[in-house]
Amino acid sequence: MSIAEFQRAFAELVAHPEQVLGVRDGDAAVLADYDLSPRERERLEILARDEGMSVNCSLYRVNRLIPVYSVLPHTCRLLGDRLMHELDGFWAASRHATLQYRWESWRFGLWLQDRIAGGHLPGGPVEDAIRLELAMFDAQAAGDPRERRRLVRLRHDPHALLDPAVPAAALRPAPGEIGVLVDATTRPVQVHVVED
Amino acid sequence: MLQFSESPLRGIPGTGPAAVGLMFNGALAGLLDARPDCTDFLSIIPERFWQDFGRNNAPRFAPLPDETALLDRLAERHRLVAHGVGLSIASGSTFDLDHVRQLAEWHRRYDFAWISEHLSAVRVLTEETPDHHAGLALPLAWDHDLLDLVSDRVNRTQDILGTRLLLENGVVHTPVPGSDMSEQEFVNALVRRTGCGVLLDLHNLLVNAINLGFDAGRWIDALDLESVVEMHVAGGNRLFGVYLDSHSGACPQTVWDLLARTAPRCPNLAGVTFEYHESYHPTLGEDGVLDQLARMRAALLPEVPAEVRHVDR
Repeated sequence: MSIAEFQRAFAELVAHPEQVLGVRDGDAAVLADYDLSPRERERLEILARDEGMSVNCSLYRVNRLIPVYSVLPHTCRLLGDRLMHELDGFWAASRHATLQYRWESWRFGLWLQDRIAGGHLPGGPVEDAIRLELAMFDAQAAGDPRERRRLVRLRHDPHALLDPAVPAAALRPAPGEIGVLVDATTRPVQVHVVED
Repeated sequence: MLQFSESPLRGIPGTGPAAVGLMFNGALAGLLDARPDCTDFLSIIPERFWQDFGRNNAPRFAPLPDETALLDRLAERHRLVAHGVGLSIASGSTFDLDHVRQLAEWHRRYDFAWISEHLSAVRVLTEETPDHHAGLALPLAWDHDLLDLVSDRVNRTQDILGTRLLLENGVVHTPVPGSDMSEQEFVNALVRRTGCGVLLDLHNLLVNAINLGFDAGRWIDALDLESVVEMHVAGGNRLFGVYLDSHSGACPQTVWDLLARTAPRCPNLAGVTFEYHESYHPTLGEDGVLDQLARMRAALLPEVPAEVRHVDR
Protein backbone atom coordinates (compact mmCIF):
# COMPACT_ATOMS: atom_id res chain seq x y z
CA MET A 1 0.00 0.00 0.00
CA SER A 2 2.89 2.31 0.70
CA ILE A 3 4.12 2.42 -2.89
CA ALA A 4 0.57 3.12 -4.02
CA GLU A 5 0.16 5.95 -1.52
CA PHE A 6 3.47 7.53 -2.43
CA GLN A 7 2.54 7.46 -6.10
CA ARG A 8 -0.94 8.80 -5.43
CA ALA A 9 0.46 11.68 -3.41
CA PHE A 10 3.04 12.51 -6.06
CA ALA A 11 0.43 12.41 -8.82
CA GLU A 12 -1.78 14.80 -6.86
CA LEU A 13 1.11 17.21 -6.44
CA VAL A 14 1.83 17.19 -10.15
CA ALA A 15 -1.82 17.80 -10.96
CA HIS A 16 -2.07 20.64 -8.46
CA PRO A 17 0.93 23.00 -8.58
CA GLU A 18 -0.54 25.00 -5.70
CA GLN A 19 -0.03 21.94 -3.50
CA VAL A 20 3.60 21.83 -4.56
CA LEU A 21 3.95 25.41 -3.40
CA GLY A 22 2.18 24.45 -0.18
CA VAL A 23 4.69 21.70 0.55
CA ARG A 24 7.53 24.06 -0.26
CA ASP A 25 6.09 26.54 2.21
CA GLY A 26 5.94 23.89 4.92
CA ASP A 27 2.17 23.33 4.88
CA ALA A 28 1.92 19.91 6.54
CA ALA A 29 -1.76 19.64 5.68
CA VAL A 30 -1.01 18.96 2.00
CA LEU A 31 0.37 15.49 2.70
CA ALA A 32 -1.53 14.84 5.91
CA ASP A 33 -4.19 12.55 4.45
CA TYR A 34 -1.82 10.07 2.83
CA ASP A 35 -0.71 6.86 4.51
CA LEU A 36 3.00 7.53 4.09
CA SER A 37 6.05 6.31 5.92
CA PRO A 38 8.36 9.02 7.29
CA ARG A 39 10.83 8.17 4.52
CA GLU A 40 8.19 8.64 1.83
CA ARG A 41 6.98 11.88 3.36
CA GLU A 42 10.52 13.22 3.43
CA ARG A 43 11.06 12.16 -0.18
CA LEU A 44 7.93 13.98 -1.30
CA GLU A 45 9.02 17.12 0.55
CA ILE A 46 12.38 16.99 -1.23
CA LEU A 47 10.74 16.30 -4.58
CA ALA A 48 8.39 19.24 -4.17
CA ARG A 49 11.40 21.52 -3.81
CA ASP A 50 13.09 20.04 -6.88
CA GLU A 51 13.26 22.47 -9.82
CA GLY A 52 12.14 19.62 -12.10
CA MET A 53 8.73 19.70 -10.47
CA SER A 54 7.69 22.55 -12.74
CA VAL A 55 8.56 20.36 -15.74
CA ASN A 56 6.42 17.56 -14.31
CA CYS A 57 3.49 19.91 -13.82
CA SER A 58 3.80 21.18 -17.40
CA LEU A 59 4.09 17.68 -18.87
CA TYR A 60 0.99 16.64 -16.94
CA ARG A 61 -1.02 19.40 -18.57
CA VAL A 62 0.33 18.73 -22.04
CA ASN A 63 -0.27 14.99 -21.78
CA ARG A 64 -3.82 15.45 -20.57
CA LEU A 65 -4.56 18.02 -23.26
CA ILE A 66 -3.42 15.78 -26.11
CA PRO A 67 -6.35 13.29 -26.09
CA VAL A 68 -8.90 16.06 -25.76
CA TYR A 69 -7.36 18.16 -28.50
CA SER A 70 -6.95 15.15 -30.80
CA VAL A 71 -10.67 14.37 -30.75
CA LEU A 72 -12.10 17.87 -30.21
CA PRO A 73 -9.72 20.24 -32.02
CA HIS A 74 -12.41 22.62 -33.23
CA THR A 75 -14.19 22.63 -29.90
CA CYS A 76 -10.90 23.64 -28.31
CA ARG A 77 -10.33 26.29 -30.98
CA LEU A 78 -13.79 27.76 -30.57
CA LEU A 79 -13.42 27.86 -26.78
CA GLY A 80 -10.50 30.23 -27.34
CA ASP A 81 -9.31 31.86 -24.14
CA ARG A 82 -11.82 29.85 -22.11
CA LEU A 83 -10.16 26.54 -22.97
CA MET A 84 -7.62 26.38 -20.15
CA HIS A 85 -10.11 27.51 -17.55
CA GLU A 86 -12.50 24.76 -18.60
CA LEU A 87 -9.73 22.16 -18.71
CA ASP A 88 -8.56 23.14 -15.24
CA GLY A 89 -12.08 22.74 -13.93
CA PHE A 90 -12.53 19.42 -15.71
CA TRP A 91 -9.24 18.02 -14.45
CA ALA A 92 -9.92 19.17 -10.90
CA ALA A 93 -13.30 17.41 -10.95
CA SER A 94 -12.06 14.24 -12.64
CA ARG A 95 -10.98 11.47 -10.33
CA HIS A 96 -10.62 8.91 -13.06
CA ALA A 97 -8.36 10.30 -15.74
CA THR A 98 -7.58 8.18 -18.74
CA LEU A 99 -5.44 8.80 -21.76
CA GLN A 100 -7.84 6.69 -23.81
CA TYR A 101 -8.70 9.34 -26.34
CA ARG A 102 -12.36 8.42 -26.72
CA TRP A 103 -13.25 8.37 -23.04
CA GLU A 104 -11.26 11.40 -22.05
CA SER A 105 -12.76 13.48 -24.86
CA TRP A 106 -16.27 12.18 -24.14
CA ARG A 107 -15.91 13.18 -20.52
CA PHE A 108 -14.66 16.61 -21.44
CA GLY A 109 -17.48 17.00 -23.96
CA LEU A 110 -20.04 16.06 -21.31
CA TRP A 111 -18.37 18.42 -18.86
CA LEU A 112 -18.70 21.27 -21.34
CA GLN A 113 -22.32 20.40 -22.10
CA ASP A 114 -23.11 20.44 -18.38
CA ARG A 115 -21.37 23.79 -18.07
CA ILE A 116 -23.39 25.16 -20.98
CA ALA A 117 -26.65 23.76 -19.55
CA GLY A 118 -25.81 25.35 -16.20
CA GLY A 119 -25.26 28.74 -17.79
CA HIS A 120 -21.55 28.78 -16.91
CA LEU A 121 -20.41 28.71 -20.50
CA PRO A 122 -21.95 30.12 -23.67
CA GLY A 123 -23.24 27.43 -26.02
CA GLY A 124 -23.69 28.31 -29.66
CA PRO A 125 -20.86 27.17 -31.92
CA VAL A 126 -19.05 25.37 -29.09
CA GLU A 127 -22.08 23.24 -28.33
CA ASP A 128 -22.45 22.29 -31.99
CA ALA A 129 -18.74 21.58 -32.36
CA ILE A 130 -18.83 19.17 -29.40
CA ARG A 131 -21.78 17.30 -30.88
CA LEU A 132 -20.27 17.15 -34.35
CA GLU A 133 -16.75 16.14 -33.36
CA LEU A 134 -17.88 13.44 -30.94
CA ALA A 135 -20.16 12.04 -33.67
CA MET A 136 -17.24 12.06 -36.12
CA PHE A 137 -14.98 10.24 -33.70
CA ASP A 138 -17.66 7.73 -32.71
CA ALA A 139 -18.50 6.95 -36.32
CA GLN A 140 -14.84 6.26 -37.08
CA ALA A 141 -14.48 4.04 -34.02
CA ALA A 142 -17.56 1.92 -34.77
CA GLY A 143 -16.85 -1.67 -35.72
CA ASP A 144 -20.26 -2.30 -37.26
CA PRO A 145 -20.41 -0.68 -40.73
CA ARG A 146 -24.05 0.25 -40.10
CA GLU A 147 -22.93 2.44 -37.21
CA ARG A 148 -20.37 4.32 -39.23
CA ARG A 149 -22.95 6.87 -40.35
CA ARG A 150 -24.41 9.26 -37.79
CA LEU A 151 -27.04 11.94 -38.04
CA VAL A 152 -26.76 15.01 -35.84
CA ARG A 153 -28.76 18.22 -35.68
CA LEU A 154 -26.90 21.51 -35.44
CA ARG A 155 -27.67 25.22 -35.45
CA HIS A 156 -24.49 26.15 -37.33
CA ASP A 157 -23.14 25.21 -40.73
CA PRO A 158 -20.90 22.15 -40.11
CA HIS A 159 -18.34 23.12 -42.73
CA ALA A 160 -17.89 26.51 -41.11
CA LEU A 161 -17.50 24.85 -37.69
CA LEU A 162 -14.73 22.67 -39.08
CA ASP A 163 -12.97 25.48 -40.94
CA PRO A 164 -10.00 26.71 -38.89
CA ALA A 165 -10.06 29.95 -40.86
CA VAL A 166 -13.49 30.86 -39.53
CA PRO A 167 -13.26 32.42 -36.06
CA ALA A 168 -15.92 31.76 -33.46
CA ALA A 169 -17.15 35.36 -33.65
CA ALA A 170 -17.94 34.96 -37.35
CA LEU A 171 -20.19 31.95 -36.85
CA ARG A 172 -23.89 32.78 -36.98
CA PRO A 173 -26.72 30.37 -36.21
CA ALA A 174 -28.93 29.20 -39.02
CA PRO A 175 -32.64 30.12 -38.95
CA GLY A 176 -33.48 26.52 -38.11
CA GLU A 177 -31.83 23.23 -37.27
CA ILE A 178 -29.52 21.71 -39.87
CA GLY A 179 -29.48 17.95 -40.38
CA VAL A 180 -25.90 16.71 -40.76
CA LEU A 181 -24.82 13.26 -41.87
CA VAL A 182 -21.45 12.10 -40.59
CA ASP A 183 -20.21 9.35 -42.89
CA ALA A 184 -17.19 7.30 -41.83
CA THR A 185 -17.74 4.51 -44.35
CA THR A 186 -15.09 6.24 -46.44
CA ARG A 187 -11.82 7.83 -45.43
CA PRO A 188 -11.45 10.56 -44.50
CA VAL A 189 -14.76 10.94 -42.73
CA GLN A 190 -17.28 13.02 -44.72
CA VAL A 191 -19.77 15.56 -43.39
CA HIS A 192 -22.88 16.34 -45.45
CA VAL A 193 -25.80 18.68 -44.89
CA VAL A 194 -28.97 16.70 -45.53
CA GLU A 195 -32.50 17.75 -46.27
CA ASP A 196 -35.17 16.73 -43.80
CA MET B 1 14.85 -18.24 -18.38
CA LEU B 2 12.26 -17.49 -21.05
CA GLN B 3 13.65 -16.90 -24.48
CA PHE B 4 12.23 -15.86 -27.79
CA SER B 5 10.14 -18.64 -29.21
CA GLU B 6 11.87 -18.19 -32.53
CA SER B 7 14.46 -15.97 -34.12
CA PRO B 8 12.95 -12.50 -33.73
CA LEU B 9 13.64 -11.26 -37.22
CA ARG B 10 13.95 -14.48 -39.13
CA GLY B 11 13.78 -14.28 -42.88
CA ILE B 12 13.87 -10.56 -43.39
CA PRO B 13 16.06 -9.68 -46.36
CA GLY B 14 18.92 -7.38 -45.60
CA THR B 15 18.78 -8.02 -41.89
CA GLY B 16 22.17 -8.10 -40.33
CA PRO B 17 22.90 -9.28 -36.85
CA ALA B 18 21.01 -6.30 -35.44
CA ALA B 19 18.09 -4.99 -37.43
CA VAL B 20 16.98 -1.38 -37.81
CA GLY B 21 13.36 -0.38 -37.39
CA LEU B 22 10.91 2.46 -37.17
CA MET B 23 8.35 3.27 -34.53
CA PHE B 24 5.21 3.43 -36.64
CA ASN B 25 3.26 6.65 -36.90
CA GLY B 26 0.61 7.69 -39.40
CA ALA B 27 2.91 10.04 -41.29
CA LEU B 28 5.06 7.07 -42.33
CA ALA B 29 2.32 5.52 -44.48
CA GLY B 30 3.53 7.12 -47.71
CA LEU B 31 7.15 6.19 -47.17
CA LEU B 32 6.27 2.61 -46.25
CA ASP B 33 4.16 2.29 -49.39
CA ALA B 34 6.94 3.62 -51.59
CA ARG B 35 9.88 2.01 -49.82
CA PRO B 36 8.66 -0.97 -47.78
CA ASP B 37 12.21 -2.33 -47.71
CA CYS B 38 13.65 0.74 -46.01
CA THR B 39 13.10 -0.75 -42.55
CA ASP B 40 13.68 -4.26 -41.22
CA PHE B 41 10.76 -4.06 -38.82
CA LEU B 42 8.05 -1.77 -37.53
CA SER B 43 7.48 -1.17 -33.87
CA ILE B 44 3.84 -0.48 -33.05
CA ILE B 45 2.10 0.71 -29.92
CA PRO B 46 -0.67 -1.87 -29.46
CA GLU B 47 -2.84 0.39 -27.30
CA ARG B 48 -3.31 2.69 -30.30
CA PHE B 49 -5.17 -0.08 -32.11
CA TRP B 50 -7.82 -1.01 -29.56
CA GLN B 51 -10.32 0.61 -27.26
CA ASP B 52 -10.24 -0.20 -23.58
CA PHE B 53 -13.65 0.09 -21.93
CA GLY B 54 -12.22 -0.36 -18.43
CA ARG B 55 -11.70 -3.23 -16.01
CA ASN B 56 -15.31 -3.76 -15.09
CA ASN B 57 -16.72 -3.88 -18.59
CA ALA B 58 -17.38 -6.87 -20.78
CA PRO B 59 -16.15 -7.03 -23.39
CA ARG B 60 -13.26 -5.07 -22.02
CA PHE B 61 -11.39 -4.45 -25.28
CA ALA B 62 -12.50 -3.79 -28.85
CA PRO B 63 -10.26 -3.31 -31.85
CA LEU B 64 -10.47 0.07 -33.56
CA PRO B 65 -11.58 -0.96 -37.06
CA ASP B 66 -9.70 1.53 -39.22
CA GLU B 67 -6.54 1.23 -37.19
CA THR B 68 -6.68 -2.56 -37.11
CA ALA B 69 -7.20 -2.72 -40.88
CA LEU B 70 -4.10 -0.59 -41.23
CA LEU B 71 -2.19 -2.86 -38.89
CA ASP B 72 -3.24 -5.91 -40.89
CA ARG B 73 -1.90 -4.28 -44.04
CA LEU B 74 1.37 -3.39 -42.31
CA ALA B 75 1.74 -6.93 -41.01
CA GLU B 76 1.54 -8.29 -44.55
CA ARG B 77 4.76 -6.50 -45.47
CA HIS B 78 6.62 -5.92 -42.24
CA ARG B 79 7.74 -7.85 -39.21
CA LEU B 80 6.09 -6.19 -36.22
CA VAL B 81 7.40 -5.46 -32.76
CA ALA B 82 5.04 -4.51 -29.94
CA HIS B 83 5.94 -1.57 -27.73
CA GLY B 84 3.35 -1.15 -25.00
CA VAL B 85 2.74 2.09 -23.18
CA GLY B 86 -0.10 1.30 -20.80
CA LEU B 87 0.80 -1.65 -18.59
CA SER B 88 2.18 0.47 -15.75
CA ILE B 89 4.11 -2.46 -14.37
CA ALA B 90 5.73 -0.45 -11.57
CA SER B 91 2.51 1.04 -10.29
CA GLY B 92 1.49 0.44 -6.70
CA SER B 93 -2.04 -0.03 -7.97
CA THR B 94 -3.61 -3.40 -8.71
CA PHE B 95 -1.85 -5.11 -11.58
CA ASP B 96 -3.91 -5.33 -14.75
CA LEU B 97 -3.62 -8.93 -15.89
CA ASP B 98 -6.41 -8.52 -18.43
CA HIS B 99 -4.27 -5.95 -20.19
CA VAL B 100 -1.51 -8.55 -20.37
CA ARG B 101 -3.94 -11.15 -21.71
CA GLN B 102 -5.08 -8.71 -24.38
CA LEU B 103 -1.47 -8.17 -25.36
CA ALA B 104 -0.98 -11.94 -25.50
CA GLU B 105 -3.98 -12.27 -27.78
CA TRP B 106 -2.50 -9.74 -30.15
CA HIS B 107 0.85 -11.50 -29.97
CA ARG B 108 -0.88 -14.67 -31.18
CA ARG B 109 -2.47 -12.65 -33.96
CA TYR B 110 0.60 -10.73 -35.17
CA ASP B 111 3.50 -12.88 -33.98
CA PHE B 112 5.50 -9.93 -32.70
CA ALA B 113 9.25 -10.34 -33.03
CA TRP B 114 9.47 -9.20 -29.43
CA ILE B 115 7.38 -7.32 -26.91
CA SER B 116 8.50 -4.38 -24.82
CA GLU B 117 6.99 -2.13 -22.22
CA HIS B 118 8.13 0.72 -20.02
CA LEU B 119 9.60 0.23 -16.59
CA SER B 120 7.19 2.83 -15.33
CA ALA B 121 4.15 3.72 -13.28
CA VAL B 122 1.42 5.79 -14.91
CA ARG B 123 -1.67 4.37 -13.22
CA VAL B 124 -2.59 5.49 -9.74
CA LEU B 125 -4.91 3.87 -7.24
CA THR B 126 -7.59 6.34 -6.15
CA GLU B 127 -10.84 6.00 -4.22
CA GLU B 128 -12.66 5.52 -7.53
CA THR B 129 -10.38 3.44 -9.68
CA PRO B 130 -7.13 1.51 -9.79
CA ASP B 131 -6.45 3.10 -13.16
CA HIS B 132 -6.40 6.86 -12.66
CA HIS B 133 -3.86 8.08 -15.20
CA ALA B 134 -1.20 10.21 -13.56
CA GLY B 135 -0.62 12.18 -16.77
CA LEU B 136 3.06 11.32 -16.82
CA ALA B 137 5.41 8.54 -15.81
CA LEU B 138 5.94 8.88 -12.08
CA PRO B 139 9.46 8.90 -10.69
CA LEU B 140 10.33 5.54 -9.16
CA ALA B 141 12.18 4.79 -5.95
CA TRP B 142 14.64 2.02 -6.78
CA ASP B 143 13.87 0.17 -3.58
CA HIS B 144 13.76 -3.49 -2.62
CA ASP B 145 9.98 -3.50 -2.20
CA LEU B 146 9.50 -2.16 -5.73
CA LEU B 147 11.92 -4.78 -7.04
CA ASP B 148 9.86 -7.52 -5.38
CA LEU B 149 6.65 -6.08 -6.81
CA VAL B 150 7.94 -5.67 -10.36
CA SER B 151 9.74 -9.02 -10.40
CA ASP B 152 6.54 -10.84 -9.58
CA ARG B 153 4.65 -8.93 -12.27
CA VAL B 154 7.30 -9.51 -14.92
CA ASN B 155 7.22 -13.23 -14.18
CA ARG B 156 3.44 -13.34 -14.46
CA THR B 157 3.51 -11.25 -17.63
CA GLN B 158 6.09 -13.48 -19.30
CA ASP B 159 4.09 -16.57 -18.34
CA ILE B 160 0.99 -15.15 -20.01
CA LEU B 161 2.80 -13.80 -23.06
CA GLY B 162 4.85 -16.95 -23.47
CA THR B 163 7.86 -14.87 -24.34
CA ARG B 164 10.42 -12.61 -22.80
CA LEU B 165 9.38 -9.07 -21.91
CA LEU B 166 11.72 -6.17 -22.54
CA LEU B 167 11.55 -3.17 -20.23
CA GLU B 168 12.58 0.34 -21.21
CA ASN B 169 14.44 2.88 -19.09
CA GLY B 170 12.48 6.07 -18.70
CA VAL B 171 12.86 9.82 -18.39
CA VAL B 172 12.76 11.42 -14.99
CA HIS B 173 12.84 15.12 -14.16
CA THR B 174 12.73 14.63 -10.39
CA PRO B 175 14.63 11.54 -9.27
CA VAL B 176 13.46 10.09 -5.97
CA PRO B 177 16.15 10.73 -3.35
CA GLY B 178 17.68 8.01 -1.22
CA SER B 179 16.78 4.89 -3.22
CA ASP B 180 18.07 1.55 -1.95
CA MET B 181 20.00 1.02 -5.17
CA SER B 182 20.81 2.70 -8.46
CA GLU B 183 18.54 2.34 -11.47
CA GLN B 184 21.07 0.07 -13.18
CA GLU B 185 21.39 -2.12 -10.07
CA PHE B 186 17.62 -2.37 -10.00
CA VAL B 187 17.41 -3.35 -13.67
CA ASN B 188 20.28 -5.83 -13.40
CA ALA B 189 18.60 -7.48 -10.42
CA LEU B 190 15.29 -7.58 -12.25
CA VAL B 191 16.95 -9.31 -15.20
CA ARG B 192 18.59 -11.85 -12.91
CA ARG B 193 15.34 -12.61 -11.12
CA THR B 194 13.05 -12.83 -14.12
CA GLY B 195 15.08 -13.31 -17.28
CA CYS B 196 13.46 -10.24 -18.79
CA GLY B 197 15.36 -8.17 -21.32
CA VAL B 198 16.21 -4.50 -21.53
CA LEU B 199 15.14 -1.94 -24.08
CA LEU B 200 17.84 0.66 -23.70
CA ASP B 201 16.43 4.00 -24.83
CA LEU B 202 19.51 6.04 -25.56
CA HIS B 203 17.61 9.28 -25.92
CA ASN B 204 15.80 8.85 -22.62
CA LEU B 205 19.20 8.28 -21.08
CA LEU B 206 20.60 11.38 -22.76
CA VAL B 207 17.67 13.48 -21.50
CA ASN B 208 18.35 12.37 -17.95
CA ALA B 209 22.11 12.84 -18.33
CA ILE B 210 21.68 16.41 -19.58
CA ASN B 211 19.01 17.50 -17.10
CA LEU B 212 20.38 15.69 -14.07
CA GLY B 213 24.05 16.17 -14.88
CA PHE B 214 25.55 12.71 -15.12
CA ASP B 215 27.65 10.84 -17.67
CA ALA B 216 25.51 8.64 -19.93
CA GLY B 217 28.47 6.47 -20.85
CA ARG B 218 29.21 5.67 -17.22
CA TRP B 219 25.53 4.94 -16.65
CA ILE B 220 25.67 2.37 -19.45
CA ASP B 221 28.87 0.87 -18.02
CA ALA B 222 26.93 -0.15 -14.92
CA LEU B 223 24.23 -1.95 -16.91
CA ASP B 224 24.36 -5.65 -17.72
CA LEU B 225 24.69 -5.22 -21.47
CA GLU B 226 23.98 -8.88 -22.18
CA SER B 227 20.39 -8.10 -21.24
CA VAL B 228 19.96 -5.40 -23.90
CA VAL B 229 17.82 -6.72 -26.76
CA GLU B 230 16.59 -3.47 -28.31
CA MET B 231 17.66 0.15 -28.35
CA HIS B 232 15.63 3.24 -29.09
CA VAL B 233 17.09 6.36 -30.67
CA ALA B 234 15.29 9.68 -31.06
CA GLY B 235 15.67 13.44 -31.01
CA GLY B 236 14.54 16.08 -28.57
CA ASN B 237 14.53 19.80 -27.99
CA ARG B 238 14.95 22.37 -25.27
CA LEU B 239 12.16 24.29 -23.64
CA PHE B 240 12.80 26.82 -20.89
CA GLY B 241 16.25 25.38 -20.34
CA VAL B 242 15.08 21.77 -20.01
CA TYR B 243 15.95 19.13 -22.57
CA LEU B 244 12.84 17.14 -23.44
CA ASP B 245 12.22 13.69 -24.89
CA SER B 246 9.96 15.20 -27.51
CA HIS B 247 10.84 12.89 -30.41
CA SER B 248 11.17 16.05 -32.43
CA GLY B 249 13.15 14.72 -35.37
CA ALA B 250 16.70 13.68 -36.11
CA CYS B 251 18.87 12.18 -33.38
CA PRO B 252 21.53 14.44 -31.90
CA GLN B 253 25.14 13.44 -32.47
CA THR B 254 25.47 12.30 -28.85
CA VAL B 255 22.87 9.59 -29.47
CA TRP B 256 24.80 8.33 -32.48
CA ASP B 257 27.99 8.31 -30.44
CA LEU B 258 26.27 6.35 -27.66
CA LEU B 259 24.85 3.90 -30.19
CA ALA B 260 28.19 3.32 -31.91
CA ARG B 261 29.93 2.84 -28.59
CA THR B 262 27.31 0.66 -26.93
CA ALA B 263 25.87 -1.57 -29.66
CA PRO B 264 29.06 -3.60 -30.16
CA ARG B 265 29.06 -4.37 -26.44
CA CYS B 266 25.53 -5.80 -26.48
CA PRO B 267 25.85 -9.41 -27.67
CA ASN B 268 22.09 -10.00 -27.72
CA LEU B 269 21.06 -6.80 -29.45
CA ALA B 270 18.34 -7.69 -31.95
CA GLY B 271 17.16 -4.30 -33.16
CA VAL B 272 17.49 -0.53 -32.98
CA THR B 273 14.38 1.60 -33.46
CA PHE B 274 14.11 5.24 -34.50
CA GLU B 275 11.19 7.11 -32.95
CA TYR B 276 9.78 10.48 -33.93
CA HIS B 277 6.43 12.13 -33.41
CA GLU B 278 4.37 12.48 -36.56
CA SER B 279 3.76 16.18 -35.92
CA TYR B 280 7.45 16.67 -36.75
CA HIS B 281 7.20 14.80 -40.04
CA PRO B 282 6.91 17.96 -42.16
CA THR B 283 10.29 19.17 -40.92
CA LEU B 284 11.99 15.76 -40.85
CA GLY B 285 10.56 14.55 -44.17
CA GLU B 286 10.84 11.14 -45.76
CA ASP B 287 14.43 11.80 -46.79
CA GLY B 288 15.16 12.66 -43.19
CA VAL B 289 13.70 9.35 -42.01
CA LEU B 290 15.74 7.46 -44.59
CA ASP B 291 18.83 9.33 -43.46
CA GLN B 292 18.24 8.28 -39.84
CA LEU B 293 17.86 4.66 -40.94
CA ALA B 294 21.08 4.87 -42.93
CA ARG B 295 22.90 6.30 -39.93
CA MET B 296 21.56 3.52 -37.74
CA ARG B 297 22.81 0.90 -40.17
CA ALA B 298 26.18 2.60 -40.34
CA ALA B 299 26.45 2.70 -36.57
CA LEU B 300 25.71 -1.00 -36.38
CA LEU B 301 28.13 -2.03 -39.10
CA PRO B 302 31.38 -2.21 -37.12
CA GLU B 303 33.27 -5.39 -37.00
CA VAL B 304 31.41 -7.26 -34.32
CA PRO B 305 31.38 -10.98 -35.05
CA ALA B 306 27.93 -11.94 -36.24
CA GLU B 307 27.75 -15.00 -34.04
CA VAL B 308 27.67 -12.97 -30.84
CA ARG B 309 24.70 -10.85 -31.82
CA HIS B 310 22.12 -13.59 -32.24
CA VAL B 311 19.49 -13.83 -29.56
CA ASP B 312 19.65 -16.99 -27.52
CA ARG B 313 17.10 -19.61 -28.34
